[in-house]
Amino acid sequence: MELNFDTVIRNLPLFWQATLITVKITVLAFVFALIIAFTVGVLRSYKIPGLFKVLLAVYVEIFRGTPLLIQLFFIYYGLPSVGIIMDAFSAAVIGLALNGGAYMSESVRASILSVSKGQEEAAYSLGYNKLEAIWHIILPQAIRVAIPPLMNGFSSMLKETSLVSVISITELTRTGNLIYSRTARPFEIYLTLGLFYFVLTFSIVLLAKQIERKERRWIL
Amino acid sequence: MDTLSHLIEIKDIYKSFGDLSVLRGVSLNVSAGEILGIIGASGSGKSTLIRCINGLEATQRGEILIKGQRLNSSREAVNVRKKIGMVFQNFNLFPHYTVLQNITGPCRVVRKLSKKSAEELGESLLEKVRLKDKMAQYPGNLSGGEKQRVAIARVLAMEPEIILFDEPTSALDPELAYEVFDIIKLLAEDGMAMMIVTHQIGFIKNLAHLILFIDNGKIACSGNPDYILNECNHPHLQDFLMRLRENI
Ligand SMILES: Nc1ncnc2c1ncn2[C@@H]1O[C@H](COP(=O)(O)OP(=O)(O)O)[C@@H](O)[C@H]1O
Ligand SMILES: [Mg+2]
Repeated sequence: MELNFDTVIRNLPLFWQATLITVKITVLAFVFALIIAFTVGVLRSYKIPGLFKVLLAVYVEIFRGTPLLIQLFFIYYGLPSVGIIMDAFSAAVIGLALNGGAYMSESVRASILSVSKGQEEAAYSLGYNKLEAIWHIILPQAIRVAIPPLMNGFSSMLKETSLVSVISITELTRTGNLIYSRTARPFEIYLTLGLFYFVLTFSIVLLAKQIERKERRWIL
Repeated sequence: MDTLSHLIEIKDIYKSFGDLSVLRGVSLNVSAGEILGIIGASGSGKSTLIRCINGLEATQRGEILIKGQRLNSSREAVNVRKKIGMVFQNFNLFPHYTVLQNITGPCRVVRKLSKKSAEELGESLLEKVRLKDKMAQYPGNLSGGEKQRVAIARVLAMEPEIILFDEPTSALDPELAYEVFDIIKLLAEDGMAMMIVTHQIGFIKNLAHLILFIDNGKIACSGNPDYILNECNHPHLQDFLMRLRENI
């Protein structure tokens, strides 16, 4: 077999465009997922009214217990039946954010549990109220524990954006598929696609290392 | 003595964890400037008593008054706690803060001091516990004795009217314990009211006005150090003291 990257090179502008869309969806979804994860993770770590607690648990278990693909289909094709209509891009971001938020909230919860009870008690005994103790004492210590799994979630999310190609968003994967259907050069195209994804996830790994190094200034 | 002059009044409190009844009718008073030593076997309820006083544990019966104010709802507990300092056996310094920030952080959040006055206060208190040269370090880099001295400085920064110590030197090597005792002696000279749980009889007998011997969730014996060490003939106290002497 003879390799021929001409097709790829000719279509590079399309790849770039698609990369931008993939990055945009990932970053937006990750930011929303973080907000969800911290809100849900903190609430589930503390005493809250029973019904509320059950609702949050149901959210987390449903989104962790069903395939992301089904969640995306449901949001994009299913919800319009009950009058909730949105464009594909919003559906993709919301789907990824809800899914990632559910997983990441468990990391946040575990990281909060990892901070010793004594820290909270010391804060209370100094006169901090509950919110002040969470904000100033517990979360800053929990975040350091949570950073590796959260950054892991970031890179998973990037790879999962591949799935949103099924709701007709022309991100990297769909772009690859489209070019393939026109040119029949699967080997070169999917190799290039993989390379693009790898460079992106590797950038996240480097970013994670950078953040972890900064957090290592204090020890226990 | 009239009730108003008591800093802390404890009236017949009971506390149990599930089936385990830990405090079984404890009453005591502490006045300004008074130093109480608390001794007793491990598991007798000393920590639980201390933790009930600043609301870390809720009692099931009885009453705790801090300067006449009842410690009931958690909202009151937040206010009442500001008058009570607590020094823990395992320090509980905030590891993500530097030594100085361990003091300025609470000053800014709880006392709403400005950054500048919090830092001035922090530096002067670190001077008092002779740790000013360590103020930029993180607690993880300090020895146990140094950590406990920072913890005491942190408590002093909140200007408490009484400080509760729960075995402040139990996690320390003996030679480091003295660093901490020296600071506690300084506080005694300043007239700070204190309740000190400790197994260091030699230290507490020269400091405390009153020593309580806790046995099985009750105050089995109380009196001045001389009475506790030499006269009280409660059999459990005699056993307890004998075992302590053997260990030393
Ligand atoms: N949070 C808790 N839950 C259940 N049991 C506890 C708890 N705290 C203390 N206890 C039990 O209460 C008893 C008294 O404990 P504690 O007050 O710590 O004793 P001391 O400080 O005198 O060693 C012990 O048997 C201990 O296991
Ligand atoms: Mg104890």
